[in-house]
Amino acid sequence: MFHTEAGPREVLHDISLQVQPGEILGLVGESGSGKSVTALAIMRLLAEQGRISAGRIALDGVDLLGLDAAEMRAVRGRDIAMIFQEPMTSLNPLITIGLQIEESLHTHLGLRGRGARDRGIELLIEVGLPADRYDAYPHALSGGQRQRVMIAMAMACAPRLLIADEPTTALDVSVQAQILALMRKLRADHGAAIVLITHDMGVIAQMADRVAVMYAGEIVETAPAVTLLANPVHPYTRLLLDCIPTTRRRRARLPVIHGQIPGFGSIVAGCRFRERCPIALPVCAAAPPQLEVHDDGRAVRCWRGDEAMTT
Amino acid sequence: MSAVPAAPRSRLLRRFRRSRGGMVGAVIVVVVILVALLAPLLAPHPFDATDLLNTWAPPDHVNRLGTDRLGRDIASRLIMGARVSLLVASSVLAITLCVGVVFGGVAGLFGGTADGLIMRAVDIVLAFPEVVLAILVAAVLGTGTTTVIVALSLVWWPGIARLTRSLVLVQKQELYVDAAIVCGTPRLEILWRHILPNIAAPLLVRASIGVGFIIMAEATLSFLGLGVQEPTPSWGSMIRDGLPTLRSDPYLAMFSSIVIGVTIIGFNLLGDGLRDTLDPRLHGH
Amino acid sequence: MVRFLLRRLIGLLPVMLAAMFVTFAALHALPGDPVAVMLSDHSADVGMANRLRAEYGLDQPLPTQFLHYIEDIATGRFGLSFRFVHLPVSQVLRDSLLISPVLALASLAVALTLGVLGGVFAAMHRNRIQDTAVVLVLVVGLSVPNFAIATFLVTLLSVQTNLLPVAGWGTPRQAVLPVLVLAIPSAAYVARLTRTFMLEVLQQDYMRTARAKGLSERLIVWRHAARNMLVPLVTSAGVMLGGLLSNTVVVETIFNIPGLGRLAIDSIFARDYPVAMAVVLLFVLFYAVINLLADLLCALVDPRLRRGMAG
Repeated sequence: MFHTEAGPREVLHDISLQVQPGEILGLVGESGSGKSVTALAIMRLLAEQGRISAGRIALDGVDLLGLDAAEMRAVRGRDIAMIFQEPMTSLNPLITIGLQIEESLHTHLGLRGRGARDRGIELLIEVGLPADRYDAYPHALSGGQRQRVMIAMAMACAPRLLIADEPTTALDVSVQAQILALMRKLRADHGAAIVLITHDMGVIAQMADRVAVMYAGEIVETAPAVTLLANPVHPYTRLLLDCIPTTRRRRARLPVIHGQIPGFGSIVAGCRFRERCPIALPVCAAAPPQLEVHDDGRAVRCWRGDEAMTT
Repeated sequence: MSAVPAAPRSRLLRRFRRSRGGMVGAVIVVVVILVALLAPLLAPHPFDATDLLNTWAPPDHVNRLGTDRLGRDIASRLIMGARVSLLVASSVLAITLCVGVVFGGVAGLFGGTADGLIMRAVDIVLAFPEVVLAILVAAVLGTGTTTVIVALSLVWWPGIARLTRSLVLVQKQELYVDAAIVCGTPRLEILWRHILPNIAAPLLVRASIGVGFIIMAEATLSFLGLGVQEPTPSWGSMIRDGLPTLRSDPYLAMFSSIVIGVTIIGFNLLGDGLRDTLDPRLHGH
Repeated sequence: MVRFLLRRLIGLLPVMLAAMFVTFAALHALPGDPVAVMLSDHSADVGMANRLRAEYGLDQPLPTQFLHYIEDIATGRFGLSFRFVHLPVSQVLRDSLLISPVLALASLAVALTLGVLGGVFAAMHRNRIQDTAVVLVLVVGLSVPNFAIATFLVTLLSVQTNLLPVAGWGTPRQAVLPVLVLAIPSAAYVARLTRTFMLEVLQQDYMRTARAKGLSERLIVWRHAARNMLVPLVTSAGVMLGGLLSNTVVVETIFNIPGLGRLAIDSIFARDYPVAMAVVLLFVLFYAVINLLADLLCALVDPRLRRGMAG
């Protein structure tokens, strides 16, 4: 729920996500679909005009919405860490990267002085940066190196949950692969659960165990990655997958999903995707479809979901 | 592109009305200007009529705000002071706008040597803090109203010149200037007839913001004794007269301080309001 | 860094030369004969007048006088006073020399402290009653001349309560009111700057990173946000110190403090123009040096600028 000048606007609706230790959950959708807001909501970092009006965010059974500000601060960075999309601006330009890594160690683990420094350098080496960069300022680092620093900061307290919001979007393809490998290593070493937010189906295919597709603030389809990639059901998921260039399907042009995501507040009755949907029926305008669970571990929010499953 | 969005006048007015500070400022400014214009009619007593038998009188129903060390009516002197203040401020504004626009315009339009010379002059003037410049002028011209006007004009024209220069440089990129040059229009005429109307709005905003500061600077110089001299009343020199007797007879300093404070707040609020109305980009939020 | 310093120092030369030329021209454009002023009622004594004329170098051609003037300034003697005949200006200035800089520096410290605290306080309570209150105080502090504010402070703190002395110089208690009065407009300016800047910094990506690390609010505000304020603060501190220095004239007049500014004003009334011009020159020099120091400090604070200075 966002409070705007024009009154409250619902931004996210009925989001239900689960991620197990050691699992990577991919959260997909185009820009504006609510992926990042979901991530910030989990961290309870929505700006002051944002509010979670209903629901539960549980970490190992503890409801984060029930924590007070200090308890929540203790969770952030220690139990849940986050990596952001913009490595160029996500590090404070006036503080050495070493100190920015040490801050987490200090705040959550009480490490100070030499101890903190040694551990910080260890982390830096772990993410593949030379130890002599420890006292560098962010401007001396490339985008990929900065993202490594972000990962080092995130790893500092061995979090149980890592939320990575488009961690590779701003990076070169070769650097992307390195960062993704690093995240897989993080999962392998610490058994962390990872929520990987991206709009790139390629990244999902490489990384995710399970996938949730978001559209206009709702989850429209969720399934194990293999199932979803092989057999997408929701028309939006299908269109997303069709937009990936492949070597097998040599087409002159990639398909385009026509139209735009509806703006928040302009959401009308019925299915939110119907205006862009190639297979919409009259019923889609009448009532919003519910997220229906199917027996192959998939859930789909579409009036024609059953139909698509059987074909 | 003009710096002012081409909004209809009524919309600008509505936007200005929404700025609460701007409206308060406008009311204060209108009152001060009316008082200045009607000063001789409003003043209950002649501002220079002394009454040595009634010095430092507290407020009563004859002298509503009391009297000063020569028994002159404080209220009347404050009212005349508004006229003096605004007179100095408008003179300084007129001079700096003329000088600044001409020099800044020439520097921006012609570039080259003229630009270099004018901008060096600006740099040198800016190397002097304003009170120091006023001391320099006071040394040469002696103290008095002329000194204040000259000193403040000296202090203010570089800012206007710089602003004009940068605005002209932007306008120079526009096609209409090229068109005028191709038609053989003389450069100064281009500046006057074509460019000036397009840069008038930001210049006026700047001028309106400057009024408060000029009034403050005039008061400061008069307070120091370098500015407006007796028997002409100036708010600054009235505070100077009142400060030594603050313990026994506080009215002169108090009332003068309040009047000058409210006046400058009014002009600054109005200036900020105008700026936000005419060019919201200048001020975010 | 050394080369940068040298370049800036050389850049000072034309300004100082221009200032010397202007003050020299002012001295010679003055109405009346200084010797006649010095002799007052002895002006009929031609022999004495000629001796004085020779002692003050007034019998030489103007270019020679200008060279002597520069030499006098370079040696720190500043020529001879008109009011205190035979006495070098440097002697007249000696007792006042430090008062104005001390006043200005003390006020700068007070202004920065009050301003930053007020600005951060307002920004942290954005759009709430505390913020509005601070902004209202700012409007008054920025608009009302400090001698008008002094009227009320003196009434409140000296006349009514006898907490502080009304005038004079020498004891710390005597310094409180002048420093406060001098500092108020700058404090308001700093507070406004801080508030605007904090509101902007709080929007930055790296503030979100700091929050996501679970840092305490104190660390977020004072390390991550306020450190970024150092550059604009140091820059504006340079400008302010120049303004404060010249405004000591006002405060010295209010509180009867024998500093440089009041000496300059007194000298003008006493027609002791060499002293007034010496003060003008000193102020210009202080002003230029302050700006230079501010630029250097900025470079020390901002690692991004530091690199630019090497070349």
